[in-house]
Amino acid sequence: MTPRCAAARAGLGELLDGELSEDRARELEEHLRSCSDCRIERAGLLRTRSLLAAAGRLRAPADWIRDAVRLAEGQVPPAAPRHNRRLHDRPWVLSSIAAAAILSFVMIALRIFDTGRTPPASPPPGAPSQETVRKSLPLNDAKPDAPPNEAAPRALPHAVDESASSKKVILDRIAGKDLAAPPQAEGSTPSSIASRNEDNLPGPAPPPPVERIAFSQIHFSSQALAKDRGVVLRRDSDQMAVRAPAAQEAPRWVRIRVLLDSFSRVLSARGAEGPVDREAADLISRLPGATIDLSTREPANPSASSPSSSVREKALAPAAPPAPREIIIEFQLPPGS
Amino acid sequence: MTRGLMPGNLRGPAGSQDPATESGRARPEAVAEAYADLVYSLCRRLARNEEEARDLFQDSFVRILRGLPSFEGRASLRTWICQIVINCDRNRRRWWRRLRRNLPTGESLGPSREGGWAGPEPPDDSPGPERAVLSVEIRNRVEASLRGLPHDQRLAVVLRDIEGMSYEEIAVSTGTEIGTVKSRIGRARASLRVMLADLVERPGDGTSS
Repeated sequence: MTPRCAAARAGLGELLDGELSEDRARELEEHLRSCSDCRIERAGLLRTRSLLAAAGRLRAPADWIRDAVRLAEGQVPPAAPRHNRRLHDRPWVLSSIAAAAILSFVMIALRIFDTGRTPPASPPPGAPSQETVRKSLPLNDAKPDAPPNEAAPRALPHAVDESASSKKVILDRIAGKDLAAPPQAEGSTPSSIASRNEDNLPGPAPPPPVERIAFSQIHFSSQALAKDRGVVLRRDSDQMAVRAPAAQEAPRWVRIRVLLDSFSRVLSARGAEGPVDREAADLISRLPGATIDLSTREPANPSASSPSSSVREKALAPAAPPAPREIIIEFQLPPGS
Repeated sequence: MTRGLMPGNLRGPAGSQDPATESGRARPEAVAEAYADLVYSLCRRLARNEEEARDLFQDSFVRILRGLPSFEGRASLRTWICQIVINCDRNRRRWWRRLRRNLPTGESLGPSREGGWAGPEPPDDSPGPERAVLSVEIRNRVEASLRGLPHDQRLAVVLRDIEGMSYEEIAVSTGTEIGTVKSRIGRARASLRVMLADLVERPGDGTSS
């Protein structure tokens, strides 16, 4: 290999990349025309480059993008377990977090307890004793002429003796049982508070109320969460609201059991009636972190005002309480999904 | 996904504006969609295993999306994004080095050397004429050879030959001189040519030069 060949080969890469000056490139081209060894060298280099270029860009998995977008918006921690080096290095952080969690639980419990207790007041003359009230005040008969789902839950906290059953009341309220319990039909056997308190055996939990939710009531954190669904997005200030595309086929409804926090954000979701199909599972995987707008209900007749999203009937549940609770949502899948 | 968005004033070669910055400002949704593949490719080729690649992807993506409001457009969006990925990767490797140094002798944590991808290559269904003709076996060979390169050389050659960046953009993204970039690319190609000798010397298997 002559010195000219060595110089030429040193510049071959830049020549192929178009990074050489015109003069230098012309000089190299001239040499290549006369030197077969350097031409072979150039061919090998070209082939290496084309192999690399053909390896190409890789396609990012959708769940990686979704997790990263959620993380960027600070809404939901990533699904995949991450090596937390800071906690690894600093064990005191763990104990602080544990202490904070216990403290918050106690505060929440106290707050719930406070809202449920009767303000201390002396009974009016001639009023029956507290024991009498408790025994004579059935769960659903506080106001016999009132609708059952108004009377039952509100009568409970005022009638319960806090010293006897405060723990049960707190646990029931945290679990949302006072609201989740289905209203008893008129004429059913009234059960007294006293007999309810004596019932310490854990019975089957009453089914949560069922709500029918339109897409417009679910606020996803970003476009990335719903883009694969064939769902039309519209921008509503900082939030993305989701609605179904124009219906040409009958919409499909799927029942999903969701655990909501006090801000109506979905903490977890699962099929309400056992295993679900792929479409529903896909939807369920997107729900955690989404906000369900329970305050603005869709009209009962959706076709009149909102042709693209619909709620078949109004929600059955009472107003959302400021505590985590579990409800069943009948969720409308986009047509054709 | 949009592929091949060009740098330089955020405009493509034909003067078409980058869809991620249609209104003059980078929109997070569009950036996430347009550049996810670029970030993913870099993370996969810079990290040593899948877990680390995922961490790197999330770190980078979070920084990119959160940093978009402060993006001033001095460099191209692609260069800026590559810079963030490279910085995240650098911080991560520095942290691993420090951790390994502090470990007692004999104890190991994480992959002990670079190029430690375990298991088969993940499936890749990205479209493209080159991909269609390059067999999975050859692609795996190329990826394995890339992992056999020193980190700096691998980064330089990936940015040049796969992402198609200019020497100047690579220098800006990696924070090095253009001369350094040239020599890293040259050494990387020479090593790859040796590692892929059977493929380089075998013409007519689908990749034309």
